[in-house]
Amino acid sequence: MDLFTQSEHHSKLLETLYPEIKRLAAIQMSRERSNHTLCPTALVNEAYLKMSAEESMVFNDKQHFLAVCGNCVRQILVSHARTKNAAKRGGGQVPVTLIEGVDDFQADTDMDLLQLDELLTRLETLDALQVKVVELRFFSGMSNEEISDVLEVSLSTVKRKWTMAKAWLYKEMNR
Amino acid sequence: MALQGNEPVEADYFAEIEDLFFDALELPPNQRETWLKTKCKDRESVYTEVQTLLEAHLSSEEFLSESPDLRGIAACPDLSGRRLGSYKVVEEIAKGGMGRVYSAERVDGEYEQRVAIKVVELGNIEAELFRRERQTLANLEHPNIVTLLDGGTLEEGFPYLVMELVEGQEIDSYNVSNKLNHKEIVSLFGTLCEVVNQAHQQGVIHCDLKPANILITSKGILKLLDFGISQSLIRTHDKQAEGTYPQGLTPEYSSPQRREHKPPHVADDVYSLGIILGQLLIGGLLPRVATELLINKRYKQIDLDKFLLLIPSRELREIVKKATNETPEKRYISAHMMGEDLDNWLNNKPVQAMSGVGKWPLYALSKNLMRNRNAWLGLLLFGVLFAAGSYGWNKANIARLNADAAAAAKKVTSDLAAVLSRTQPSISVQIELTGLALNNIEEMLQKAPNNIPALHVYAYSLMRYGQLEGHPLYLSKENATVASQYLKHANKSLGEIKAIMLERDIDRVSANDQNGLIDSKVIDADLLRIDRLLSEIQIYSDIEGVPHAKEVGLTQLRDVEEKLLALDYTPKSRQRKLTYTEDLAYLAHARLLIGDIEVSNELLNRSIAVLNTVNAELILETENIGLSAKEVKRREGKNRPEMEILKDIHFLNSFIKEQKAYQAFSKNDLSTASQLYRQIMIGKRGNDVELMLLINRVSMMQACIALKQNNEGRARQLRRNVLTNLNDLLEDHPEAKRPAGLRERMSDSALSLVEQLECKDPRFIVFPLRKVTNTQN
Repeated sequence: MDLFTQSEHHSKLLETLYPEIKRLAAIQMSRERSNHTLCPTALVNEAYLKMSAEESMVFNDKQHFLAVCGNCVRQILVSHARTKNAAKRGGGQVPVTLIEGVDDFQADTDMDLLQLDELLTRLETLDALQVKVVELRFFSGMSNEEISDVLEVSLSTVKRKWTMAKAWLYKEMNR
Repeated sequence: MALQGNEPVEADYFAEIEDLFFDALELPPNQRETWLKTKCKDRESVYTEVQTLLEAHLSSEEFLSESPDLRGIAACPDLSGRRLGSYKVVEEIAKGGMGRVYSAERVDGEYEQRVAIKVVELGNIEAELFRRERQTLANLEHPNIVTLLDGGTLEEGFPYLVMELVEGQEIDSYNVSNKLNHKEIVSLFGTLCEVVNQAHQQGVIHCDLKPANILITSKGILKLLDFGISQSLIRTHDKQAEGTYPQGLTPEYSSPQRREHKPPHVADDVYSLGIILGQLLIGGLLPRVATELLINKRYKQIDLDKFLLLIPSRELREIVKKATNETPEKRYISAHMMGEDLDNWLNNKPVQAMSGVGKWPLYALSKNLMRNRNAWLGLLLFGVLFAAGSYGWNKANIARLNADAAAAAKKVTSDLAAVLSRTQPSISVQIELTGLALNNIEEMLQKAPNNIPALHVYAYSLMRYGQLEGHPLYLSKENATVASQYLKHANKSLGEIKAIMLERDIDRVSANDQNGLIDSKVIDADLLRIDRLLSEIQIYSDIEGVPHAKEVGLTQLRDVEEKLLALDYTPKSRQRKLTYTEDLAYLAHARLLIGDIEVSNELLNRSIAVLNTVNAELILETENIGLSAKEVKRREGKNRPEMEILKDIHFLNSFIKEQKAYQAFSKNDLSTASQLYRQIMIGKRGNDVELMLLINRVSMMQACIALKQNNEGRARQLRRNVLTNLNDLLEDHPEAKRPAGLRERMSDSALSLVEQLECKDPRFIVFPLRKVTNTQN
């Protein structure tokens, strides 16, 4: 289970993955209609295909890769939300966009996302496995079966951890 | 898991919670609480924790069920520092709905060049169409349209354009920071229309015209951005728009047809031009203006009616209105036509957009007058100089000269009167023209001094000028002072005439036409008239805060009245009769103001008697020549002075009736009052400012009567009519203080209807609403 530790290996992988996922998301976006939602599953799969074709592949198998992916998407989203929040609070000159529709609608989601991230960090000290499940399922869009494979735990454990994490996170968010 | 007595390690504690949570979930819902209570005896915090988790569980069905949308992070990355072809991106300089704009420089060593790179950060763009449009733009060579240099596609898939870098100010902020006046805005806008038109002629429609796309460089050159690349982007949006507004367009500036995703058309650009012009004329940045005007925040749709009302000039408002008409066919058919109409405005030619407004022939004439103001006056002056100059200065000719000078002076003023009556220019234009006419007469008087008829015409022109300056619509303290000075000057001229007559022992002077008999009584009546006007201005100034002016003025008027009646004056000419009627009517009005209804009524009866003699004469004349009523009307139309007289009669008639009606109203004789008011309303014709004010007064009084009769609905309707009239009036005379004040009070929702209409004390009637009479005597 060295998979869960923030090893050097893990952070190296994250470093490569981070810009790649953003880039892939952009490409995906340039192809898609702009009101189309961009779900992580497709993105993560594409990232895998792209990176496994490269020689500089630094991870051993797909499971490992996907496990890091969830964490990576979470970090990207959180940092995006953080930048936008900072800008909203008046941090520096933000060019006024005449069309603010899309951003406006996401404002609430951004706040939730940051709170969710904080709670996940707290949950990490209580039960790290729960956080992994949330990352894979929510941020990476994987099914319980896939998660059971990646994390090498039983399907019932995945379900149990997911149920518990959801209830706890929900409770904390609505406190 | 018994951890009692020990400080629980947090993770262990959490694991216990988890166990309890799932154990409880195993049980049927109604047993969970009891079971949990026994389990958590004396451990209140554990109980609460599990209990809330169970509750959360029930509500968290949907929670986290959908993965987050990655659209936000999918945005095109910042390109700063990236190399694109021969260019290296420096930094982001602008951000818009379609994407970002960067500054960049050429780095292939060929030559130094700073450029702008615009990245279209939209998904699913129609590549082929976009490429084609890029080509069109590249072909579109125009000094006022930004040049396209290059283009390509980022590795992320977003297309970009390399363009000439324009450093300039957006047209709206340029307008604000340079405080452009209307003429400057319109002439700048003329260029814009031409540029847009030329692009249209090459088959390119902009589709997204807005201030952000119109820059003015430091050298004052207008540059249009984004021409020709918008259609493919808009097509993309239109396809994606499923009930939501395409994010790339700027809805404030988009025509209704664009909002409905109809195929782009020249008329869409005309619409946007109209909105931009209106915005510039209002003088703000649209976002500021818009927030107050948005009727639909979601789609940023502007309330056009309100928007138009903010435009200060009526003609320009009509131009904007035409350009932004809901129906494309009713807009200018091209940007060129719009530019041409703006040109009309600049050159004082009739504006086409006004043709839908009504009164078009009159409007066109008045524009003609404005444009040819100098030509007109030149013509008038020519007559005078010819008369005065062609005889030389030998003694034998002096008598003749005098007669001609007088005739010429009269001609100046009567021509002027005819022009003014025909074209109804604004008061300020009338003042200007009268001032110029005065100069001409003065010049002539220097060559033929002591000419009684000419001096008399001069005095009348001075009086006219004073009346115009002292017009109740505009009267301020400054105006009052100027007006008084002119009236006193007129007084002095009349005094000179008297002195000359006394010196030469002349008791009457014929001015060579049937109206123009001048004797000492005529002059005394004129002098009293000046006194009356001066007192009225003084009373009026009381509103402006001069203490006791009103009381003093009213006392003076009683003095004038006494002297006038003592004068035993019987006017001979038609015009003089009308002037006398007016004098009496206003003196009656002054009596009414102090509540002296009896004397007021007496004066009114006198004035009616005089007015009736004029009416009788007119009827007799028409009967004598056997003309049909229609024919009379037609002749009236041709014979301006006649028509003026009829207008005067009509006004005086209404004015007198109004006073009679008011007298009845104050005696609570509502049926007589409403009958008289109805007569005025039925008989009303023409739309002179003075008459309109009177009509408003009548409507307000009718509303007051309706209120007394508990007919609130009718009162409200009448109040609305007055407000509409006031709006019209203020459109023509935006700086008129009195109607503006009235409108403010009447729309003040804090006041009751009775207060709005001032029904309790409507004594201050139209006074000193003056008919500015003709200078002919």
